[in-house]
This record gives sequence, structure tokens and C-alpha cells, in this order.
Amino acid sequence: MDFFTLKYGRLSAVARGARGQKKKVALQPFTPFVISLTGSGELKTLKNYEIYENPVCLLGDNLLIGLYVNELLVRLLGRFDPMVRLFDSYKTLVIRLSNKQGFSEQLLRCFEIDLLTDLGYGIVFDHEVSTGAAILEQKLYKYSLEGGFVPAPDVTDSNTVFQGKYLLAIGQGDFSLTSTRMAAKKIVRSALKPLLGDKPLHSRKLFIKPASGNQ
Amino acid sequence: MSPLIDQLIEALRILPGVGPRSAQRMVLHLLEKNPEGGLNLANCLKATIEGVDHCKKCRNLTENDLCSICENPARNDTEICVVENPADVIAIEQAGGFRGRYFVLMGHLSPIDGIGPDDLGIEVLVENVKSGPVEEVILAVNLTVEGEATAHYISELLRPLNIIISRLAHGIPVGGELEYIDGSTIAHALEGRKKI
Ligand SMILES: [Zn+2]
Repeated sequence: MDFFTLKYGRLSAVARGARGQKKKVALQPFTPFVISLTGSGELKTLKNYEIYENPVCLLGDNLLIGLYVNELLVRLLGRFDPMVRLFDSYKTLVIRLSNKQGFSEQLLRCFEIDLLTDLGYGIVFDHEVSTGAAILEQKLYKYSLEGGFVPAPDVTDSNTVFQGKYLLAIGQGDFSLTSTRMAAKKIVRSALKPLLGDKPLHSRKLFIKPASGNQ
Repeated sequence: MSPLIDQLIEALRILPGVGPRSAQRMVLHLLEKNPEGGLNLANCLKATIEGVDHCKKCRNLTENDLCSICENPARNDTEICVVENPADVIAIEQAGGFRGRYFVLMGHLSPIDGIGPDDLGIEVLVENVKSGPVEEVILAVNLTVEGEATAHYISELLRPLNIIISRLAHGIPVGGELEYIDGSTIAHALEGRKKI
């Protein structure tokens, strides 16, 4: 079983025989626990655990998004690599997903961008990655795997070429326009792709409604 | 002791909860106290594992093309109860009261473990619903995060088919004392409360 911890980042532990508190609480995803571990090797043994805060309840599409995020973390975070800031973003994201007011695409995109940044693959949205020149609203830019954008002569590929104003909006966290959200989704996908390698994310298959294809 | 005995001890350890000590005890018991029983066990194991497969309709375990519940003409074709495991079918049957058909997923969706819709035969379920006189699908999956995700995924797929999709009620177990029940169970029970 994998845990995302504040102090040690992601780690794996065998949970068999672990003692919970008096009231029976299952070790369920998205739940904050205080855990104690033993073992000197890479794989720890969970000794006991206690619920830290009331467990949150994710439902519907928000639950699928939560599972997608968990899969991302398991696939991308190295073991024993503390990620304090990301831990906080994750916590905020899960709490927001548990609110029933529907899903905010912006929330997920911001988390993905935070994740990329904390993994050392941050994306620069306000300057060209090659020259350092400011991104201009009306110009076209192509996403480069160096973590930013370079000028593009025209829209050769709508999956990798975007207008400057959408890039600037993403950088400022303004996701109010549909085109901005579309661009952000494509950029994040392109950035995650080399990190994920050939193995597809299983949770992506679970999003069946193309109309709300949020992730 | 003997290579054959060691091999058998090792083989028994694939069973859940069987460690080296209890495996050794089982082997010595079979050899000394009940060799015929042991041979019978060996034959049954082989016959069962080779003979039993999934029911073509509901995916439950059976040695025939269709399991006894799918073949029973007295069962109600308009209701399908979707469960995670064969043990759940047994539990519901023993509780009595349900006369419809079943569909056994043989697990739940778990992206992190790489278990997707194809592994659970969800397409077969949708096909069954489309081709039969089904009026209601009862999603009797476990009350876990994965069970919840499975229920949501299936209900989204079935929604266009215009049938009733229901979940089992969850709440306080019979004989349970509120004081000893965890917060999320109480929250679920409150949410699903009934007017009397
Ligand atoms: Zn059957």
C-alpha cells in the first residue's frame, strides 16, 4: 500500500496486521491518517494508524478525478522524496473535490502544474524558453519539452501551438475562458507524457462522457 | 525432512493465512491421520480447478456454460444485482429475499492496480441489460472508494438505457451501538435516513 506523507513523500508499507483505533476505520484512499511505521528497508511495515481528520467522501466524477490524481502520484513521485508544498496542494484538492458543488477544471490543472513544478518540470508561461522574450498576447507559440514555449510561425498542430493570450492567462491562474482550459489541458498532457512513458494511465479510461472530459 | 514433504508444505502456503508452521501441521496431519482424506482433497482440487470456469452470462463460477441461478427459470429476469465477488452472491442468497439475477464483476475498478472495465466484464453486463427485459440494476458493490468508483462508472454507462439503477442502503449494522460506530458510517446512515 502506498502512502503520501508530509515528511517523507511517497512511501510503500505493508499494512497487514496494523492496528487501527478502537472504532474500526478502514485504510481508505483520500483519508488523512497519522501513521507509525517500522522497518529499515525501502518497504516499511505499518504499525498503527489513526484518523487525523474526518475522512472526506468523493463521489461521481470527482471520485474518478481523485483516482486519476492518485494514479499520477503513484506513477510520478519517487519514494522518500519529501514534497511538502505538493502535499498541501493535494490536501486542498481532495477537500475541494469532496464538495458536491461540481468539479472545477481549474483546480485539477493547477494541481497538475504544481506537480510538474515540484518534480522539476515546471512550465514557464510568461517568457519564451529559448530567448527569454516576453510572451505576447497575439503571437503564436509552440510547446517545447524544455518546459516552456517557443515562437511558432503558424498553427501546424493545434495540440502543441497556442496563442500567447491563453498562455498568459494560464500563468496568471485565470481559467475563465474555455480556450484557456483547452490549451491548459493539452499543455499538461504533453508535459506529462514523457514522464509517464509508454504505460497509459488506467484512470483515464474511466472518463466516459466526452462532454465532461475533464481530465 | 523429505523433499516431497517440503514441497507440499511450500505448496500449501499459497493459501491466505497459512504460514510455514500451520502448513507443516496440515501436512503431518494428512500423512499420519488421514491419508485417504488427503487423496480425496487432491482429486477434488484438480477436478474443481480444471472444471470450473465463469458463467457465460453472469461471470459467477460454475462448471457448466451457465450457472444454476442463470439457468433457473423461476428467477426474476427484470432485476440484476451486481456484486464484486462470488462470496457476495452466496451472502445475498443466504440472506434470502432477492429473486432476480446476478452479475459478478470478480473485483472492482482500481486504476492504481491496473484493473479496468475490461477486467470486470462490464461490457457483458451492459449487453445483458440491453438484450433482456431488465428494469432495475442493483449495484451491490462494497462500500469502499473502489466500489464507489465502480458503481459510478457502471451507472454512467447504463444511464442512457432508461432503467432504474439503485445502490444498497448503507448504515448502522443490526445490533450496532452508535457509540462504537465510526463517523463516516454514521454520516452515511444519516444521509440515507428513512421516514417512518
Ligand atoms: Zn450465471
